[in-house]
Amino acid sequence: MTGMDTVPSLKNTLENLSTEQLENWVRGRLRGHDPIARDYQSEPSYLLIARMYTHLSRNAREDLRLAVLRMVDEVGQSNDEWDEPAIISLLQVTDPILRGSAEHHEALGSLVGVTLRHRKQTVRFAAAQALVALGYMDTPRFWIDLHAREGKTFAPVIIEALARTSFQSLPVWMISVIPDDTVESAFFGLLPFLIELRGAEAVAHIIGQIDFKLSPNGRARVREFSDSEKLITPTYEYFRALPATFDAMAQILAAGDDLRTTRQPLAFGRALRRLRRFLRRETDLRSIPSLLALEVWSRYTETIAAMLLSPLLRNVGLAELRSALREVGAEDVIELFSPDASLPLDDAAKTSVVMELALDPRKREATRNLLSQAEELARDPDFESLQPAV
Amino acid sequence: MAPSANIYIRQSIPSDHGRPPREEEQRLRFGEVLRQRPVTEQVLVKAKLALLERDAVGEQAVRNIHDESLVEETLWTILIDELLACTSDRDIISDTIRQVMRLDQLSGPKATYRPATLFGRATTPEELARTFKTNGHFGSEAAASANIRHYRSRGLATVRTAWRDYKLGTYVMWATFDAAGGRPFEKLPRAADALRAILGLPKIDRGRPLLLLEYVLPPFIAARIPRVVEAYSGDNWVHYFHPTREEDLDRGHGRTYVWDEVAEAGGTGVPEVVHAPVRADALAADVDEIS
Repeated sequence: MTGMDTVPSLKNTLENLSTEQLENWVRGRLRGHDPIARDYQSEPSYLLIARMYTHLSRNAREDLRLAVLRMVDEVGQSNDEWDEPAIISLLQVTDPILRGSAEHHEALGSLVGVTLRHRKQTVRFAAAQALVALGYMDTPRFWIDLHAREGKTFAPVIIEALARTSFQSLPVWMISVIPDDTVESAFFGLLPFLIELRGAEAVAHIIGQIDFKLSPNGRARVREFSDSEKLITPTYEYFRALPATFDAMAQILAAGDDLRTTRQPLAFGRALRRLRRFLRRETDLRSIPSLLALEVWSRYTETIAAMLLSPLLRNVGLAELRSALREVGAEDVIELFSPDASLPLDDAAKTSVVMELALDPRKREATRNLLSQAEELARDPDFESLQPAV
Repeated sequence: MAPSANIYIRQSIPSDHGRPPREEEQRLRFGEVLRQRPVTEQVLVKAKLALLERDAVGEQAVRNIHDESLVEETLWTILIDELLACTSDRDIISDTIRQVMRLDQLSGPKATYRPATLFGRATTPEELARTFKTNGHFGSEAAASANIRHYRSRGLATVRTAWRDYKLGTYVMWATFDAAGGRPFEKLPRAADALRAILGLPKIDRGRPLLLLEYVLPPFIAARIPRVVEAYSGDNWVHYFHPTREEDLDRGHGRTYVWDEVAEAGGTGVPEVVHAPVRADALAADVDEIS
């Protein structure tokens, strides 16, 4: 027996099966029983099905796709006939068989159900992987909630999902969960994919946004990657010499400058000086994030601002924010924070994320401490001499 | 009928506590243990195993179970008990074997090899991507493949750093090495399919390039002689496997089961071992790629 003899022969056999027989073959194969492709018993189920799919006629491919869709539907309805290894094998074939097909969206509802409700975490993870591979489009909230429920082991899926569906939400979420070795390792591993997906400039920008929150190890790995790929990150170069706490505050503002940070260093310098004035003027710690938020808001586009303000907003109560906005006559901005605001879906979704973060009471204390330290730094005579390294 | 979702193995390998070291455990062939049972049980077990012999892999698995000499009597006893208890369904029988084998995975005799031996694993980029994905490091094969494309041609130091969190296999890694102390692939063909044939890798990957990974086992991971336990504990049974023969047992390693065409031409395999998955920071040479 040789593989070369068998593939054409198996292709011929499969193409001569009825729709029902072909489905039965896939079912049997996924459950470790395959009386048809006996010479390939030892090959992983999903691998043989995926490989044969590319060889089959158009009609047979369509039958196979529909069979996989029916099985995904069964699994989504918690059919007890499917045990864990068979479900995982099935989920693994959804990527090569359904991706790019006109019917793939029909599987998404069932996959969401499995991702959210299956009793085994390994199955939920594999279903989430299948959703990512099939390009499932949902709000960032779906993925962020998934991470909150499942924990950091889901980080590779969450990062990839956000990168594929709502790239601008990725840094917002990253900032909210790092420093964390697992999340940072997942992000680091995905960097080559992110560059292929979004381009080096966009990835450099994200690195610049999250750099200040990375752990020392994570920062070293990411910077080494940036150096080797000659990525010019927009912010951290300016701040290497600054104290860490001020670094954190100022980078939020700097990140809000989008790519102008690198292209317009003088504008960036002005933003930095404005930040410094804020820090010197304000003594009420609670008002600092709100005012700083307004400053960023007034300078930058709404979407970017909404995302980049999240590190501040998550520590500020809605009432405080509303009060601060009214003080400076910017009530109209409040509407953007309203869940029923008539923003385009993507922007509304992002704003919703920001809102959730803003109302998280667990993180307020930590940031107030940070702001307290920042205020002390602002009073330091040496602070006056700090200038961006332009 | 589909295999049961909840095959419950009622027994377990007794703890080592208070027992002689496992290396000294009495090892009997499956047939010898079975013959100690009443004739009716012998007939029933043989009849159930015969259901597996409808295809090449199942037939070979039954033959290999009978030929295996490195499994403890305890495990065979459990296997016989579970086979007697399970229904006469081919899928359930194979799943029963799988579950019993998992009780004793990677606890066979330690292989004999020199300190700092370089072990070798040949895999396709796609399979490595699936491994990284299956091990939970990526959301999709596309993302894992992008990572592998990016790093596979980089130097050792870069790859070790970039992949340091990634295991190079799942559950059980099968590896080769040069018993004379050389590099594992040094004396083997540089053509991917010729190497596949000698290592007994899946034929379905013919024509695809191979990545050659060379690594040193960390001190807490031992290479062991492959047994039916490792061959039949996975979701898909290893086709190119035969229990280690006496001459190789004396040398302290297993041997790859070459493709038929290599065997027909008089070719033999190369030393083979199994071990727990290692992380990529164990890599000891640049990742090589052959086509």
